[in-house]
Amino acid sequence: MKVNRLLSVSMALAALLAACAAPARPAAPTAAPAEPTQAPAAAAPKEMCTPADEGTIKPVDQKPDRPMKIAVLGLENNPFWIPVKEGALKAAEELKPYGVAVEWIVPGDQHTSEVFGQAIESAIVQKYDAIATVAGDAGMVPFINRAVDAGIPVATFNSETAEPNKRLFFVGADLYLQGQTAGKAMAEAIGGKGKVAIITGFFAVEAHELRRKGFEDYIKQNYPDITILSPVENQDKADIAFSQARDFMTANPDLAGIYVTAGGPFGAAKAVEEAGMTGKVKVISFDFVDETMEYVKKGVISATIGQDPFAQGHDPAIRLYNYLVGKVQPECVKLVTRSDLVTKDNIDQFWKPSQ
Amino acid sequence: MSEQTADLPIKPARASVWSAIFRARETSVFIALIALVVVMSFASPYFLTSENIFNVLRNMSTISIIAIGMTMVIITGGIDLSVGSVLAMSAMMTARLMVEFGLDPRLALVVGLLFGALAGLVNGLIITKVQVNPFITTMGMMSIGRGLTYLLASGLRGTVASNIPMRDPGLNFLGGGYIGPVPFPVIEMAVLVIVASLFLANTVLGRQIYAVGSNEQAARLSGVDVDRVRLFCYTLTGLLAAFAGVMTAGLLSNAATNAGLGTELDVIAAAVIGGASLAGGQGTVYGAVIGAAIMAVLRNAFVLLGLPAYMQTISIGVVIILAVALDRLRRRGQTV
Repeated sequence: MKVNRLLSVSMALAALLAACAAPARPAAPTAAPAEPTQAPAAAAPKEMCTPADEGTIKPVDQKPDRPMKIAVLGLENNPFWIPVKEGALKAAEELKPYGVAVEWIVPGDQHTSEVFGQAIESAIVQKYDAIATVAGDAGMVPFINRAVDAGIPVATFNSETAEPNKRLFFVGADLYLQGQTAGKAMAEAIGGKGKVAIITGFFAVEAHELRRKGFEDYIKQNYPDITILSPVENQDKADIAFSQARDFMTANPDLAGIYVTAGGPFGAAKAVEEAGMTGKVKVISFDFVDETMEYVKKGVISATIGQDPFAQGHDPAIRLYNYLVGKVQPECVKLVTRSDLVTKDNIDQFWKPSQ
Repeated sequence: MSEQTADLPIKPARASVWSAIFRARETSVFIALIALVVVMSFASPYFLTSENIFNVLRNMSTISIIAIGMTMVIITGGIDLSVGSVLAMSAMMTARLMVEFGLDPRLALVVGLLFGALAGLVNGLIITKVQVNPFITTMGMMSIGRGLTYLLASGLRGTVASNIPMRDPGLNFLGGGYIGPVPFPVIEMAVLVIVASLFLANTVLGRQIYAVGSNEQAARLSGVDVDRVRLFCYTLTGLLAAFAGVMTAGLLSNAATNAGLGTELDVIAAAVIGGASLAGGQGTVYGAVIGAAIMAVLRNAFVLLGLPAYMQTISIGVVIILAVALDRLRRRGQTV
């Protein structure tokens, strides 16, 4: 309850911040407001793509005339970030021979603009040559724009703002598309009919809502025989997902599936397993953390959908470097990472038990 | 004398047992709970099944257990905002000791519980000895505890904070076991609630807790060691939060970094719905349990009936305000 409220308050604050920041600028370009609606189609080469060299892109072989440093602003508050960090560290290793320092910086434990905005400000002060950052909410817009106006190119990764900002490119999942992928996986797992419950992280988090809407839209458009039950939020917590999953199964003895949009899917899986409903109630979730993967292995979670977190940590730094030194633009501005679908059958390609 | 400072002022001569029962907030809240249960049993055929009732009871068990300590803290006129963080950090400590150092689970459990009690003790010491406001002290501890949770959770795999597995049959039983059809956490809750209720009503220390909250000055003058009473309440709350943390982690075989986020508000809400007054001097453990039950039934109801989840958040807010407001109105009517 409280987190939810905090989030909505912080989002409201963020919106306010963005609104406050806006009036400072309009003096300059009068045409600006009209532009965003038409420009992208004509100007940018391609809005959205998944490049073939995702996660493997190499730096341009050209040494800059001076040492450079690139800041990668990420998080370490949950295991999702382990491969992201690995990606950033790999980029650091690859760019080291060129005299470029890639620094993985964790400004706090929340992905809000209060935390990341300040980190961008200090990165500007410390004269980083480029910045890659998570852009968790709309409040990030003025900060990103300030860095770009100061001559520092910015890339966003993992999450980005709905409102346009001056970032060079984005590397991360298309959350709506991920929701649709999940919808397809669910429909196939339950044979195209039956009741499906949705446990979402927070109604106030846009990313979770996009995953929910993508799922619902896909099911509604393609599978009229699937009934979607009224969604609930588990605040990303496994213990709440556990009790909600139990309640769903109690209220709907014929429940066919549970879709968990964000954190804590193993709580729902545990409830299904404990109720002896493995195989009868299919669970679909996201990401490849250990707790989730163990239930995929057991077949309780039918499928979990990835978003190539390694590439999200790795590619921004390399592409920023290529832009700075080799003047290479990414082939599109929204580099959508792969949504790998992991099931019991292909899990070995994606995960090894850590203990 | 502490007996009389406890609840209402001296009772009027005509007051019967019945009017005393009627006057107790717990009674009206209990009636509200019964009404809710009756409505639900008509609204959903699944509500009154034993399986569902046990689910509800288990869902409220951690909140109720922490609410035992919270109620005592609130009776003394204090508050503890750190319980959610203490819950997470203690569970994380237990899990970490087992995974990292291969510590015996029982020993790890004891260390985890002591860790929680220590956090509570530190709260108490700062509040009593340094005289920092409880709200501020425990708000600080809330942040410290969450930070320690991340710290304890990191370093196992890289430096990224991860949930840590807690696989031990004993600990898993603590949070997820069954005795017959009854979830073990429900039994733990029942035992702790009964013991705590008897303790509050019948022991010297129990009565002193009320005395401190009703009139600290008077309690002090009549020889109550006020600081010691406060220290006891905060330490116990820390210990119970730690226990709830290990239960939660045991249920899911994982100590989660985000466990207990926001739990403090649920616990305070349970105590307040159940009749505890933030001004101190009033409250009972069973009242808090009824408060926790109302919230658990509401949450369960919304899923069973498939009602929009936003309404659930609203309804819990309404219940909190309504419970206190009705009590106010009723008391006003009486005194006039």
